[in-house]
Amino acid sequence: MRGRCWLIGWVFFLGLCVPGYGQVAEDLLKRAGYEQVHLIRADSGKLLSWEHRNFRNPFHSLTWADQMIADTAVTGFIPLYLNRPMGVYDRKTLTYRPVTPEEKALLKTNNRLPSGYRWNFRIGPDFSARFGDMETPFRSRTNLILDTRVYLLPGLSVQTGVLVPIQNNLGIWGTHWRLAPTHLHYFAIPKPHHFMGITAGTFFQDRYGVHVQYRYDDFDKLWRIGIESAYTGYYFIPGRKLYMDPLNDLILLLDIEYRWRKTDLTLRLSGGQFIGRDRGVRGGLIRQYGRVDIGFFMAKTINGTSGGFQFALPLFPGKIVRGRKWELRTTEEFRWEYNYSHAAPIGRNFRLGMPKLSDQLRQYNSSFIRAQYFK
Amino acid sequence: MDRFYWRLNQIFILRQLAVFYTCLAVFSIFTVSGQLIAQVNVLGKPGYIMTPNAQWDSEDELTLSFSHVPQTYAINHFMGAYYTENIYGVGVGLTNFMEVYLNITRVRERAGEIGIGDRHVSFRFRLLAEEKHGINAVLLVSAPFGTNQHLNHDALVLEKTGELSPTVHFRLTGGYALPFVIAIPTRAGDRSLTILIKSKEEANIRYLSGVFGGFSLDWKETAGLSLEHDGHTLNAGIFVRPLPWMQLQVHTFEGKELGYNFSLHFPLSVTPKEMRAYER
Repeated sequence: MRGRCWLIGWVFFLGLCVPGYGQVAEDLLKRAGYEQVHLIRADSGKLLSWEHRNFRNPFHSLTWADQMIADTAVTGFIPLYLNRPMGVYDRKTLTYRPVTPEEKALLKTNNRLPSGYRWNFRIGPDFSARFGDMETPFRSRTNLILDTRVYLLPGLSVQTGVLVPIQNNLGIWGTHWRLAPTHLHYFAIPKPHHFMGITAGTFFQDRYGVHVQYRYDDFDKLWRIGIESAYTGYYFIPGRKLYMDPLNDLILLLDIEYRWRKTDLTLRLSGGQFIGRDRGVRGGLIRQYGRVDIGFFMAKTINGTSGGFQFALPLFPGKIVRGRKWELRTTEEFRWEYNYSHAAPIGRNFRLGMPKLSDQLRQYNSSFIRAQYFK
Repeated sequence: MDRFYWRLNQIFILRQLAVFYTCLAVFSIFTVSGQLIAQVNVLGKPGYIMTPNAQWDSEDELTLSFSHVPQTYAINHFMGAYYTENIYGVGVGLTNFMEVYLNITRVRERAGEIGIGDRHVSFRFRLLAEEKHGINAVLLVSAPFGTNQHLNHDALVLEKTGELSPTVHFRLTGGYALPFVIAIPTRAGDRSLTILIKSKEEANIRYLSGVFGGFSLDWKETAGLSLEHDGHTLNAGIFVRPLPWMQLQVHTFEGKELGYNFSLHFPLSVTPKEMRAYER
């Protein structure tokens, strides 16, 4: 009798331990910077979903999760971006498939806002330079930005922060600390492969206004298309005031991208109206190396011909301090573009303060992820 | 007029591109060591001193280079005259058969008149690989646009490598560069497309024309000697790699003047620091 009691007790204890074991793995992931970690039991099997804001390239969070999760019943991973599921990646082969409506509904019920996320502070430089001037050949402006993004509703987030001027011989912007680019962003995936983002607020390059982007991107395919449009004006914060020019600049760009699978090289052609009512076309090559993206471009517009290069990389060291509820880190994407012409803008665009959809979705491409796996 | 705040000017003296490079390198990749760096020439391309060779590196590496060239042997002239120059270079592989190189020539003496310096873009294509075809062959092409063509060179390079002993390797290169430059002048407002062909000799362009060749000996990939003829002069140098991804080279031009060259190799596909720490 006594033995049977022990046995029942033991079984009960084991029963407690099994979910406890899952909890341990989840805590391990959370300590590693994973946010919004959920284990869902869909018809397709046990799936693990998360968002990892430090890693721009989802390959890193996918492989790291695979190392940390001992439970072999978990067959697939769902990385989230801006609180939206980007797709299901098979745990073993890293092949991609879109999220099914059932999985989407399960994720929605599990989604916890804002408690599923840390209070995430990000440090990143804002560096502008001009090389053409004869008197001072290297004119530059360096600011340091400390910003944060808070998730309000599924897909809806707000980014704000403080901008600290460090050095400036490029123009008059003042030496006072001021509001860093601040905006409201809405990201949605209405149907599989269809992505859209709407951003309203202040951006880099002293722009404020509205920015809309739509992309069709099947992560398994070679071709992608997108539309980007913005209606912006110039703004400036002299001290405690806010100076704004009226909204007067329209950008409307159509782009098409082709991916050369063998080398993770993307050919990108875009055309339409660039910043400053500059109409024309721009073509370029972008190579994804895994951590760093490097691209070269040529542009021919009504303002003339120009070319240049751009790069994007996460800044070292990444995580600085991480608590249970907050984190301080360096930016996951520092992007910089060099354009040969400096007189009139030729084929230029502005930065939002967050990655644009075209640059972000490229990281989720299934052949890009699988190629890194087999390297 | 410069404005520096926070007394951070000790750290953020961004006037020199070298500092810019260093900042970026430190910010981004820092402790990670790259793969073995190739010996690079004055423009940061795999090569000897002035001449290129046909060595081919792994494509996911970035090369940064800095070269100091004395006035007598300078290659990038300004308004017809040559000055002591510093050439900065960045090179990266876009595919396994194509690389892109950017150069900026700084002339400190005349910096007030010419600004940051002339820029040059060029491409390097792999035609044959020694492992497969028995010989390395590389095609160098300079971008024909831009306001000047002082560094332009279009050349074909052939090469054989081998070993004298398990630790000593040699490299023998020969090539031919076109004695003229091809240029498509681009000016604001000018939409006509004209292709100019200028003789290098008439345009007072010194860099790489006609037949050239080079030879190097490499000991355990850490030190070596090189000898070359660049079509005009005979140059020789020694190089060391204190770290596999860093190279220092000192060379003489015809035994008369000294020049030097410093280059770094950075990987572009490393895993994040946090993940590497976990794996250890």
